[in-house]
Amino acid sequence: MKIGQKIVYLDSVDSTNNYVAKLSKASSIEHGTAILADVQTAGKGQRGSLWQAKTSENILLSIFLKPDNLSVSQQVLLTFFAANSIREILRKFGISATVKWPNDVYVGTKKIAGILIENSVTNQFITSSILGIGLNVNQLEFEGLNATSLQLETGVFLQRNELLFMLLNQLSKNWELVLENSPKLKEDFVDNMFRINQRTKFEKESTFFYGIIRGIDKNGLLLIEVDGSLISFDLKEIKFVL
Amino acid sequence: MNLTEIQDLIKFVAKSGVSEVEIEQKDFKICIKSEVKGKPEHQVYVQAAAPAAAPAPTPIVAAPAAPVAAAPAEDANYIIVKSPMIGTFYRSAGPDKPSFVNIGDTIAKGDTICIIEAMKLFNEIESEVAGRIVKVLVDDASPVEYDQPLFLVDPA
Repeated sequence: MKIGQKIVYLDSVDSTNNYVAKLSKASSIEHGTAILADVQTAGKGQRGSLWQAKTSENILLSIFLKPDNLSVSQQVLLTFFAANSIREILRKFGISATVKWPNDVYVGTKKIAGILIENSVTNQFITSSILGIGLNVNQLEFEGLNATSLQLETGVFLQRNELLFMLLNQLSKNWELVLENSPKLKEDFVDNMFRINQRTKFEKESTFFYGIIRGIDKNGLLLIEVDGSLISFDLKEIKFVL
Repeated sequence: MNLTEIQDLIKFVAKSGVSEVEIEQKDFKICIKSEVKGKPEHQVYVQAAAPAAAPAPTPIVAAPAAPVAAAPAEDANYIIVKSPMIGTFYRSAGPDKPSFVNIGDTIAKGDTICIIEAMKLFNEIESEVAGRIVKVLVDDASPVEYDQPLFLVDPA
C-alpha cells in the first residue's frame, strides 16, 4: 500500500505513536497507514517530554512503515526521508525551511515541525518504523516557545486536510528513494541543514567554540569544521548557541 | 471534528485518490472508501461507536529494582546479547516507565529488551533468543558501541 492510502482520524488518544505501536504489536496495521488525532493526551516528544501543541490547529500524525531490507546502520535515511518531505511541502507555500540536526524543522530560528521516529529492530534490520510528525499549521500563539506555524509564515489560514494530503503524497514519493537507498536523500538533507557552511557558536561542557557545519558523517553525526579540521560530534556533546 | 469538517474531508478524499479514511469519534465512526481506479465512487458508512476503539494504555507495573551485583559468575553457556549499533542504551520506554526486562525475567524471541537511541532515532531492540536474563551489563542511559555486550541470557 502507498503511504497515506489509509488514514484513520481518532477523536482522542494518548499518543498516535503509541497507538500505532499497539496496532503493530497486534499485527493489525498495514505499511503506509496514517493515524491522526484531534487530541493527544500524552503527545510524545523524545523520551517522555510532552509535545507542546494545540492539536486541532496543527497536524499531528503517525505513519506506520515497513522498510524493505533496511539495516539499522542505514537508519538515518528515515530521518532524511521525513525531514526532506516536510521541507519540500513548506517550499510549496513559499517557506524556506532548514533542518536543525537531527530532527527539527526550522524557519529562520523558529521551530515549525518536529520528527519522532521509533523503530523495531531484529537481527540488525529495521522490521518496522513509526514516523511521528508534528507540524504547526494554524497555531498563532506559542506562549514564549521559539516556534512558528504555516499561518504565521504565510499570513493565511490553511486547510489542515489539504496540507495533510500534500504531505502524505510527498512522503509516498520520497519513500521510493528510501527503497532505492538513494544518495539524493542525504544530499538534499545536507544542502538544507540549519546553518550549513556558516560560522556558528556551539557549547561543549560549558565552554564555547566556533565552528562551521559541513554536513554529517556516515553514522549520522554532525561534522563541524573547527580550526581547519573536520570533527564529528554527537548530539549529546554539543549545543547550538543561537 | 464537526460536521462541516467531515463534509470537507469527504470532498478532499474524493479529489485526493486516498482509498480509505476512517473517522473515529466518541459516539460514531465513519468509514469512507473509494475505488482507486476509474471513476471514484464513494461509500460512506456511519456506525455507532465501537466501544473501546483505542487500546487501553498499558498499566504501569512497579518494576522490582534489579539486584546490582548478585549475578552469578559468567558461564560459557550463556548467550551474550550485543548491541546492533552505536547509541545510548535505555532499559525502559521512558524515565517513569518500568524496565523492559529485569534479572530473572524469562524472555521470548521477539520480546523488546531495550531501546538504543542515536540521533533521536529510537530503536526498540527485539530479542533474537529465548531464555532467562542473567545479567544486565550496561547501565541505563549509558553510551554503547557496536557489538558491545548488553545482556547475558541463559538460553531456554
